Parts: sequence; structure tokens; C-alpha cells
Amino acid sequence: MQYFFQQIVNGIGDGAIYASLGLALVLIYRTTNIANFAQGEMATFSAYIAWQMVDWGVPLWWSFLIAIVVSMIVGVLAYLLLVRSVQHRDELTIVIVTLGLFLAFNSFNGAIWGFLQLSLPSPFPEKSFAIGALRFNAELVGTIVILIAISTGMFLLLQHTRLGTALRASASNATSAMLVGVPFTAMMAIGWGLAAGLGAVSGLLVGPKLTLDPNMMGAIIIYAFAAAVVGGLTSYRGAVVGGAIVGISQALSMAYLPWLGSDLQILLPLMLIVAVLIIKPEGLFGSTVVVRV
Amino acid sequence: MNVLEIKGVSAGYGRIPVLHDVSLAVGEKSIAVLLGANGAGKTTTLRAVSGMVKYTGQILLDGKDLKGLGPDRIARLGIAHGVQGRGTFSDLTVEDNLAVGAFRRRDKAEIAADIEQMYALFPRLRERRKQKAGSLSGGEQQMLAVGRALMLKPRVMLLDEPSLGLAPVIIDDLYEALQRVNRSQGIAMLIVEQNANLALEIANDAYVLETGSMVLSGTARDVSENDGVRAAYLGN
Repeated sequence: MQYFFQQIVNGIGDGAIYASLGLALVLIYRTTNIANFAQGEMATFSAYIAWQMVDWGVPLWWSFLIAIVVSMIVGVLAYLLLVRSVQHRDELTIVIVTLGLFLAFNSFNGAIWGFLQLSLPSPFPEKSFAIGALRFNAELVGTIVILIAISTGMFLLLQHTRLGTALRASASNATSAMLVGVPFTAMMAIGWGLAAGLGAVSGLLVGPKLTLDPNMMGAIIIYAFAAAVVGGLTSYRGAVVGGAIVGISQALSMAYLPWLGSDLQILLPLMLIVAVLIIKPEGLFGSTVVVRV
Repeated sequence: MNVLEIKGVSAGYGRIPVLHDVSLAVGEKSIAVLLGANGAGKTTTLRAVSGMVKYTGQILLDGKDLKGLGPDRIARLGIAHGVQGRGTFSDLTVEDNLAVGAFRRRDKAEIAADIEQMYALFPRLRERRKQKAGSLSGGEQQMLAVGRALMLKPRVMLLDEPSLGLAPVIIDDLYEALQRVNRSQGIAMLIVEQNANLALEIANDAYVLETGSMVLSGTARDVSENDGVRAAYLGN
């Protein structure tokens, strides 16, 4: 039984990382109606920036802060220079553009930092402590605290500030938003910047856990999409719960279904997601807006 | 002194011309009504003013040329445009819809007071303040659209068929509210209507568009006594 709960605790730790990238996906989807397939590769780029800063001798926390800020600027530029011009085209065009961004970031990271594995130091101490029979290490606790902090921050920003209301208004109805004076392009750029910042956080959490290479986020972006889809790509709460579902089921399948092997342990979480989509296609927390006539 | 002046404006969509040399003016604190049949170019006129359609000619707000400015800039200068049908933010609550209407303003305390005032003007909205706008009835959405436009504290408010699809009782309430706001806050209005009776009752000036050209203009009283207008728009 203790083993079972330990797996759940570990699963929540991984789930928090999927959730943080999932939150970035939801944020972009909600503000610009785009599913950004490049989010993971942009996060890898953020991790490389942090690595580079550390390599140049910048203190770790400063390196992370710089990486987040640079990522946000890059997110804004990606929107202004590329995504903006196709935003009102059909969905397939937008998908292709974000896939192009995926390849661009992936190749750029490889070209600059190479394909050898680098190691990004962890911001958390190598400590662990026990509550009863369960073990928690500092990394796990830190990851969860950070996830709670960024989700709370995002909730407060979107629901309780003038900027947040304007962001939501732009996503809801672009024309009406402009007619009340909201600068639409700026809102979209801010949305991409914030999402890139969130993605950077997940890249910085993943980097020290795995090894840093250009394909580091390859599997994680899939889990993050799975997490986000649980909430119908529109619900922040859904992305967090989805992250936990994916993380926990993955940990349990590794522990109890060892014959699946490491390549197939993705199966259980994805089957759960498919089940959610079959039973509730709008996601567990997604909202289908009912419009009255 | 005119708040809004449209001088010799021609506009269209792509190569299809819609407006030919249209001129009109809305005076300080006054209400002007723009009448015309379907397709006469009423909506296009409003869209030109709020920067959503390209045009030749001149459009002035308080004497300032608006040409080349985007819709969000024009809104921040003080033109509120209530579009036809549903221009509300359907997945925001009623209260957030009103709050975002005040985007150009910084006076927090007064914004809160004005939201209260909108609830006093349209009590239905207070009952539904926490509901998403998309779940409101057509009439409630129209009230919300007008309320949101007022939250901007505009110099001039453009309204496109505010009575469309509403029950007669609600239309009466709406026009009474518009008149009250115009008198108490001095907000000038340019109202496009097909149902001309009520609009002419509260308006100072009236204009009639036919296939993109201004065919008649004058005080609301003069225009409502015009035989052609009576036959075409007033149903008698």
C-alpha cells in the first residue's frame, strides 16, 4: 500500500511538469485560438538559454530568470513576425505554421548547442524528507509549489486585472474588443509572451530532471497536450487535473505493468485521455458555450 | 459645434461601392438618426466612422481627422460602436463585459459607480451579472451592448439597430434609457434604425440614405413630416 501511495506522489511530481506546459497550451489556445505545437521546443530553447547563462558563470536563479524573460520576448516576436500574418486563416494553415515553428526551434537549438547531452543544474537542494512512510524530495515539493504559484498567478492575472479582462475579451470577440479600445495585436502578443514564459518554467523544471538535448521535450509535449485536452484545451483547472491524471497513471503503469516496458508505458495515460474524449468530447472541464437565440 | 462630422465619404467593400459622397453631422449632446432601407449603407457608414472600413473623404471627431486610425485607437478617442446583433463577449460574465467597456478609462472608483448605474438603467443585467453573456436572451444582450458602449464614456455613441428583434415593451424601455443618458450625461448619439418611429421621437436631426446616397436631411421633426419618409419608414 505504501508503495502504491509513493507511486502516486511521484506521479504528481511529473504531472506538475506536464500541467505547467499544458497551462501554456491552454493560455495560447484561449487567447489566440491556436494549438501551439512548438510550445515544447520553445521550452527546450528556454532551458538552453539557462544552461548558457550558467555556463557563462551567471548565478543559477539569475540564469533561470533571464531564460524566462528571453523566452517571453521570443514568444512575443514569434507571434508578431510569424503567427500574426496567418492567424485568421484556416486551422490547417495555422497548424502547419506552428509545426514549422517546432522544426525551426528544434533545428536552431541543435545548431547552436549541438546534439550532445548537456546537464542543467537543479535549482532544488538534494534533500528529501519523509512524512510517515512516504518520501518527498525537495525537487518534487518545489515543482508542486511552483505549479501552484504559477496557476494562482495566472488565475489572478486573467480574472482580476484590467489586462486579464482585456485578454479574455480579445479572445472572445476580436472585433468587439477593438471597438471598446482594446489593442488586439498587443493582447495577442502578450498572450504569446505569457505562454512562452510558462513554457520556459516547464523547460527549466524538466532540464535538470532529464538531460538537456534538442529532443528533450518531445515526449513531454505529448503528455502536456494530453493533459490540456482533458480540460478541452480551454480550462486551466482541466490542464492541472489532466497533468495529474497523466502523471499518476504513467507512474502506476510503470510500477504495476512492468511487462509494458518503457516504450509502451505511455499507453495507459493516452488510453485514459481517449476514454475522456469519447465520454465527454468537450473535456472534463471544457465549456461549450450555449448561445441563446 | 459638431462632435462628429462626416464629409463627402465614399466607401465600399473591395470593388463594390456602397457609399457615395455621404455627409452628416452629429451636434454636441444631440441625437441624430440615420434611416434607410436594407442595403442602403447605414451600417457601412458606422463602420467607416469606427475605422473598420476604408473610405475616401473626411471623418472628424471634435475636429480631429480620424483617417488611418485603427478601430481600437478610434475607440480610445471616444467613439463607442454598438454593433448590430450580438457584439457582446459571450464567454465573459455580464459584469466583465461592462468592465471591459471601460478599458480606455483609468478612474477605478467611477468605473465601479458607472457599472452600478448600468444596473440601475437595466435591472435585468443586475440579476444576471455573474452569468456569461452568451446565455442571455436577445433583448438582454442588446441592453448589455448598449451598457457596454456607455461604459466607455464616449464623446459619441454609434448604435446599429438597437431595437432589432426586441419586444415592443423592451424597445420602449431601451429608448427611454437612451434618452435619459443623452440628457443626463450629454453623450451624443448616431442611431441607425429601420423602425423609425421611436428613433425620430428622441432625435434632434435625421438623415435618410438611399442606395448609398444621402437623399434627405434635416431636423427630426421636418424629416418625420416628409411624405416619402412617412410612406417608407413610418408605415403611414
